[in-house]
Amino acid sequence: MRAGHLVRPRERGPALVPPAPSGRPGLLEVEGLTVSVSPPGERRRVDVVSNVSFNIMAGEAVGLVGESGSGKSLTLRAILGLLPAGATVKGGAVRFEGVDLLSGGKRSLQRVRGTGVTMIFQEPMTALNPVVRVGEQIVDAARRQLGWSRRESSEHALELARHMGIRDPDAVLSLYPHELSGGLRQRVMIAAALACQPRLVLCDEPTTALDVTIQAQIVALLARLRQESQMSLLYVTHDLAVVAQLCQRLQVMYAGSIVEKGSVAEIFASPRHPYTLGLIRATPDVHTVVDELTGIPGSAPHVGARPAGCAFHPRCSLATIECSSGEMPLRDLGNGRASACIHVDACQSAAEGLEAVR
Amino acid sequence: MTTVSAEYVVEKAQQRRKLPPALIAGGAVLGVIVGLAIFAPLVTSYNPTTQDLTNILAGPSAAHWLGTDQLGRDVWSRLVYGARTDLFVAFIAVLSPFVIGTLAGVFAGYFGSALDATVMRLADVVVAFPFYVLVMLLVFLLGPGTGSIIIAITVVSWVSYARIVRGATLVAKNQEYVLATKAEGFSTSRIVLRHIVPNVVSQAIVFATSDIVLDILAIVTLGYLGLGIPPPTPDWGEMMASGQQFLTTHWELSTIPGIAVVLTGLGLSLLGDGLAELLSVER
Repeated sequence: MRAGHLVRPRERGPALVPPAPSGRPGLLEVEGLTVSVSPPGERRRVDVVSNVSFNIMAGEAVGLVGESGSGKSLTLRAILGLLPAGATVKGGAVRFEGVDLLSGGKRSLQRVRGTGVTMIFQEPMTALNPVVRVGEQIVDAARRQLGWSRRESSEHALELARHMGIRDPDAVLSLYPHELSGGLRQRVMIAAALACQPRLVLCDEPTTALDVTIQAQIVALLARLRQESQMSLLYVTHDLAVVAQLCQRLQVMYAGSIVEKGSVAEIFASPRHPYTLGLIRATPDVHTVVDELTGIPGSAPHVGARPAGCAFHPRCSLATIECSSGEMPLRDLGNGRASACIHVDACQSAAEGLEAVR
Repeated sequence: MTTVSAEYVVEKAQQRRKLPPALIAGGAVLGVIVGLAIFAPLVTSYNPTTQDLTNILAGPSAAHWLGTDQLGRDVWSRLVYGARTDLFVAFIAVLSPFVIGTLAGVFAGYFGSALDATVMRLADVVVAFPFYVLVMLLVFLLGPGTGSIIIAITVVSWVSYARIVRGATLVAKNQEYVLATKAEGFSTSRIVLRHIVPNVVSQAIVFATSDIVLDILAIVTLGYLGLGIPPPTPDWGEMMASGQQFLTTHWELSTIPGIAVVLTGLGLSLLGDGLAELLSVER
C-alpha cells in the first residue's frame, strides 16, 4: 500500500502554532482524576481513567491523544460533570480558576458551564437540536448567560456566524440543522460554544466525522479563534496530525492513564514512550514512500482486563520482565516532559531511527 | 488568514414543501364541518331547541331541509348546533389529556427512577380497565354534563400521551444535543421544555388527531346512552338515541347524525395521516 496520499499538515506552515505562553497561573488543573464504571453484566467496578493529572494554562492548546477506549473522552466529560450514566468519579480533583468542580456540587458546575468551560462534540448532526433553527441555537445559551435581548442576539448570531467563516449567514441562520452540510454544522456548533466567550473549550474529536479538507478548515478555524480570543483548548483526538497543527503540548493516554506528556515539538522529534513511538510510526507521511505502514501489534486491552505492570507491555517491543509487574507512574524527565516507561533510554535510541526516516 | 469558504444547501431552503394529499382532503372535510359549527347562526334559520308541536316528524321540505323531529325541532339546526357542542367538547377533551400526558411523559422519561416508576404504574392501573367502562363509571359518579365528560376522558386518555412521549424522551435525552445544552450551562427546566419537548411533541400531535376521533365517538356514545350532555342542548348522540324509536317510519332522524359522525371521523383521520406524513418528512 502506498501511504503517500495524506498531507502532513504541520508542513503547511509554522504560523498556526505560536509558542506556548508561560508563567501564567493554571486555568484548569486536573489532579489524580479516577473514573470507574461497571463492565456490562458485572457488578464490580473497574477504573477506566486512573490517576490522570494535567494542567492547562490560559491561552494554551493541549492535545489528549489515545486509541478508542483509552479513557480520553471520559476524562473530558468528567471535567464538566457530564459523565454518562453508570460512570462515576472515584477520586481526584478538577479545579477551574481555583474552584473545585467535582466537590462543589451542581451549582459550581452550572456557574462554570458555558461561560467558563464549554464543549464541542464529535458528531455535529446529533449535537444540534433538529427542531430548532441554527440561528437560535447559536445564541440560545448566550441569551440566558449574558442576558442579550432578542434584537442583540440576532445581531450577535450574524456576527458570530461571519466570524466562523460562514458565507451568507443570513440565509444559513434561518435553516434547520438537517439542511446544512457537515462542515457547516460543525461551524454552527463552534459558534454556539463560543457565543458565551468561554475561557476553555473542551473539544471531543470535533473533526473526526468530517472529511479531510473540511477537517483542515475546521482545525485552522479553531487555531485562529484561539489566537484571537486567547482561549484555551483541550483537544481530544486520535489524529496526531491535528495535534501537530493545533497544540503546543501533548499528552498521550493508554488504557486509562497518561503515559507520556511534553511539548508537541519534542514528543514528535523524540518520543520517550514506546506507545507514542508506535503511534508516530503508524502515521503516514507524504514525503516518504513506504510499502507498509508500521502498526502496533495486538490491540488495546479491554476495560477490566488490563495487564499488570505497564498496561502496554504485551504489545511492546522493548518490554522486559520488569515491565509486567508493579506500578508505572509518570516519571519527570525535566523540561516539562514525563514518561511512564521504565526503559526511557532504550526508547530514545529506538526513536533515533525515527529521526533518520524523516 | 482569509475567510474559509463554507458550502451549504440552499436549494433545500428554497424547496417548497408539498402538502400530502391526505392532509388537504382531511382539512377540506373538517374545514366545512368546523366552518358550519362556527357560523351556525348564519347557516340555520331555526333555533335548535324551539319546539313546534304542530309540525312534528315532517319530512324534508324547503322550510326544513332535513325535516323536523318528534318535538317539531328543525333537524338541520340541531345537526349544526350539535357539531358545535360535540366538536368543542371533543377539542377540550383531547387538549387536556394531551397537555397533562405530554408533561407527565416528558418528566417521567427525563428524570427516570422514582418519578418514572410512579407515573408508569399509575398508567398501568388506568389501562387495566376497558376505556368505556372507566369513562362511563366516572361520568356516572360525577353526574352527566360537559365537565364530567372532559374530566372522565382526561383521566383515561392521558396515559397514551404519557407513554408515547416517555418513549420519545428516553431516546431524545441521550442525544448529544442534550449533552451540548448541559455543557453550555442550561438549567434542567430549560433543557426539558425548550429542547426535549419540541422534539417529542410531534408524535403526541399525530396521536391526538386519531385520539380526537375516539373522543368524538365516546362523547356521542355517552349522549346515546343518556350519560352525555343533558337535553335540550343538541348533541349527535342524543339525536341518534331519540330518533331510534321512529326508525321504521323516519329512519333519517337517526341516520343523519350518524353520517355526520362518520364524516367528522373520516376528516380527522385523513388529517392525522397527512400530518404524520408531513412531520416525518420534516425530520
